[in-house]
Amino acid sequence: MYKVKPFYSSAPLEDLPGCMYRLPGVHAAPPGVAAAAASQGEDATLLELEQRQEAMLRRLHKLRDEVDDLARAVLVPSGPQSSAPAAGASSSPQLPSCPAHHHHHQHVGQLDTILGMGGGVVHDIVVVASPARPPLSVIVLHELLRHRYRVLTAVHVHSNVTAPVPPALRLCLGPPSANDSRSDHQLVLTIIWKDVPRPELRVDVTHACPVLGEGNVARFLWALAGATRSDPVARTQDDAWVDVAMLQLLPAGPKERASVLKVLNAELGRPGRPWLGGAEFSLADIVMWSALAQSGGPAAVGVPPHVAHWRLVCEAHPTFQTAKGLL
Amino acid sequence: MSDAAAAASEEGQATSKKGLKKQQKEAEKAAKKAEKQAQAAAGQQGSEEEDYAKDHYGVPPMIQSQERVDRVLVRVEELAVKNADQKLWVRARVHTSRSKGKQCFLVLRQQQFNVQGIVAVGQNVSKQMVKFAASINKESIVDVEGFVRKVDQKIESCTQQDVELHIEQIFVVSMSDPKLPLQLDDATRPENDKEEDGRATVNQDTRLDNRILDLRTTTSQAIFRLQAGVCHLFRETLINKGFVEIQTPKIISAASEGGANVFTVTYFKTNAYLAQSPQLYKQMCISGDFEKVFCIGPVFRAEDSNTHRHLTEFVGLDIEMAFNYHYHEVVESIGDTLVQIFKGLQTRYQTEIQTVGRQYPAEPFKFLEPSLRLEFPEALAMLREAGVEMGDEEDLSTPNEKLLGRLVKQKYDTDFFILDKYPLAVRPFYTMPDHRDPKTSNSYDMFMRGEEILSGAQRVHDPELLTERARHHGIDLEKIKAYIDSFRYGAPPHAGGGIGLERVTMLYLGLHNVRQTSMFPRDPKRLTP
Repeated sequence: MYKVKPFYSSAPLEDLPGCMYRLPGVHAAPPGVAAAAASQGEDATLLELEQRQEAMLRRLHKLRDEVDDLARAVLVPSGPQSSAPAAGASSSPQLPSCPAHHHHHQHVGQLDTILGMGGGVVHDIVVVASPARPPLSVIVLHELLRHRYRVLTAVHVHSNVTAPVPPALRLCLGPPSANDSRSDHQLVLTIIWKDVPRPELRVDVTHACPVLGEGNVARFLWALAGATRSDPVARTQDDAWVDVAMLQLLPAGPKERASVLKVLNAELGRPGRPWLGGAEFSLADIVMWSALAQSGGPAAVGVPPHVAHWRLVCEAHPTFQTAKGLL
Repeated sequence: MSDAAAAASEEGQATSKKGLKKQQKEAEKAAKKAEKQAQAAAGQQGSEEEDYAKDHYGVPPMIQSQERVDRVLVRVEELAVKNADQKLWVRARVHTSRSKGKQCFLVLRQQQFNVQGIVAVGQNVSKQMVKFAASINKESIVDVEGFVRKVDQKIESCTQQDVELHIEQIFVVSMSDPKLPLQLDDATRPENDKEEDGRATVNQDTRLDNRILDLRTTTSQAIFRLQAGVCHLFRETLINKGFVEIQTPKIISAASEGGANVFTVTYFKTNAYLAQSPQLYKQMCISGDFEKVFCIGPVFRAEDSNTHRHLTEFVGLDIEMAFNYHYHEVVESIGDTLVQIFKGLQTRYQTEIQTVGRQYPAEPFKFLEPSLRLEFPEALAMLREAGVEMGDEEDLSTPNEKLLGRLVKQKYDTDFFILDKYPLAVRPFYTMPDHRDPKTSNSYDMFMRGEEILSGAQRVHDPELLTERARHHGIDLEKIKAYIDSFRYGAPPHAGGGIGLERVTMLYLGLHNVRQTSMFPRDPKRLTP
C-alpha cells in the first residue's frame, strides 16, 4: 500500500572520534627524532658549554693539588722537602748513614696515604705467624722501617699456642723500648705468634682484607719502607725472585731445593751482581735469604759456592743482624 | 554388710520381688568381696613369704648420728673399669628411676657425675625390692651397695659410660618430696634443643626461685667450681707477686664515690652506708706502707639497672699497688695477673668448661700474652673507620664498646685487651691527669669479649692537686675531707683497679646473664633466696 522511503542508510556510520581532547606530548620525543631536530642549531653551543665546564674542572683540580702540597709543607715542621721519588731518577735504596729524626717526619704523609687510614693516629700493623716457622724477612724489613719511621714494637703470644715459645722469639724485634707510649710513635709493628698455616698481615679490618703469605707481607712492608726501586724492569725481576723464593724454594723437598739453588748459583755467578737484584740490595735478597734459611738444612751444607758467598754478604749487612740471631 | 542384709531379710519377709532380687544381688556382692579378701590375704601372705630380700632395702631411721658406721662410700666419679666386679657402697641422689617388669633402672647422680644402676630380680633381689626401688622419689638421697660391672655398649647418657652398678642393697637416707618445682633434666637442656623437640626448658626466674634445685645441675656445679677457681687463681697469682691480702670495712660513714648509688643502713643513732668499693681503704693501706694489696669482698651498688650484667651486690676483686716511676708498671702487673688466671682456667678447669659448653655453647676464650694495650685515640680511629661518629672526649657507650671488641677481635684475634689513656673529662676526680696533654688521663679500662670488666687509673696522691680536681668536678670538699687528709703524710704514687668476680666468670664462659654466675643474685627486683 504505502512504500516509505528508507530513513536510515545502510552505509556504515561515520567514525566517531574516540579521543575527547588531544594535547601535544610533554615528554621528549624519541632521541632520533629529537637529536635530528635539535642538534642542528644547538650542537655548537652545547659543545662550547661542555668545554668550558671541563676547563673549570681542570683548574679546580690543579688548585686542589697546590693546596694539598702547601698543606703538607705547612704540617711538616722541619727538614728538606722531599715528595715521592722523582720519576726517572732511580731513588737509591741505600740506607742513610745515620737515621736522623727529621727523616721520620717527612714520611708521615706517605704513611697515611699508603695505609689509607685517617691521619693523626699511630698505625698498628699486625703480623701473625707461627713460632715454628718465623718469617725472617719481616724481621729484616722491620730494621728498614726503623730507619724511616719511629716504630714501636710489640710481640705477643696467642693463647692457642701450646708449646712454650723460646725467649729469642719474644725478643725478636729487639728489647722493649723505654718509651712505650704508643702515640709518640708513627708506626707500631705487632707480631703475634699463633698457630697459623702461613703468615698474615692486617692493618685496617673495616675496609681491607688481610695480606696472606710471607712473600706478600714482605712486599707490603718493603713498599711501606719506601724502598721500591723506580725502574719497572728491576721491580718485575725482584717480584719474580720473591715468587721463586716463596713458591719454589720454601715448600721444596731436597731435590727441588737443589735445582733451585743451581738456578740461583747461575744467576749469582754472573759478573757485577753482588746482590740478587743486580747492583743494588733489594727485596729479592731479603726474601730469598729468608726462604733459604727456613727451607731447612744446616747452614752451608749442599749450598753452591756463589750462593754461599751471597749469603755471607747478606748476613754481613746491618739490617740482617737481628734475624741472623734467630737462626 | 552381710549382717545388715540378713537383718533386713529377717525383718522384711514380705518384701516384693524387687526386694528379693536386691537381697540376692547384695549377697552375691558380699560373697565376691569375701572371696577377694581371702585371695588378697592369701596373696600377701604368699608375697611376704617370698620376700627374701626384705633386709636389703627400705627406709632406715633418720640419721641422728646413732653410731659410726664403718663403711667406705665410693664417689661416683671414681667408678670405672678398674673397679669391675668389686662390691661397693655409693651414696648418691636418684636422678631418674624407671621399672620394666622384673628390672628397675636407676640413674644415680653425684655433683657432676652420674652412673646407671640396675635392680634386677635375682638371687638376692626380690620383686618387692624392685618395686620399692621404682617408687623412690626423684632427688632422694640413697645408699646403695652393688657390684660394678663392665658394659659392652657405652652408656651415652651418663658420665660414667663404661660401667654400671648392679644393686644388691638400697636404703633411702633422705626422702624427697614427690612434686619437684622444676625438673633437673629440663634445667640442663640447651636452648636450641627445646625448639626442635618441643620439650621444656626452665626459665631464669624459676631457676632463681628454686636455687637449691638449680644448683644441683651439672652445669651449675661446673660454673661455680670455675668461679671458685677464678678466686683461687687470683689469690695465688697475687700472693706469688708479693701482694698482701687485706680486709676492708663494708659499713662506712661517707659514700666513697658519687653518693647517689649507696645503700643506707641505720647505725645505732645515725646512718651509715654500705661500701660501693674498697677504694678508699685500699689507698689508705698504700699510705700505710703495704705497697701491694688486694682484697676480695662484697661490693654494694644501689643502681636501679635491670640489665644482664648488673647486680646490686657482687664480689669485687680489687688490687692497689704503689709503683716506682710509671703507672704502666701497675697496668702490666694487672694484665699479667688476668692472663695467669685465664691460663690457669684453661689448664686446670677444662672439664668444667666442657660441661658448661654442653648447655651453653660458646667460643673458647682467646687472649694474648703479654696483654694487648691500645690507646684511646687508636680505638676512636678504629670506631670512626667503622662508621661510628664520636667526639674526641666522649666516653664509649655499651654498643660502641661491643663494636670495638669485635673490631679488636678481627684484627688481633683476642677477647681480652686493655684500653689506655682515656680522656680526663669522663673519669672520676681522683684520676691523675697526663703530664703532657691535660685532656688525657692516666687511666685504663680492660675488656673481655667487648664488655668492660675493670676500670682503673693512677690515683692522685698529692692533696693539693686532689683538692683542685675535686673543686673542678664540683664536689663538696667537706664530704671528702677525710679522704684528702689520708694523703697528707707522704703518700707514694699508686694505681690499681677492681674486677667483678661474677662478670669475669660470665664473660670467660661466654654466658649471657650475670645471674647465672651468681649463686644467690641480688638485683633491684630480687631479695630472696
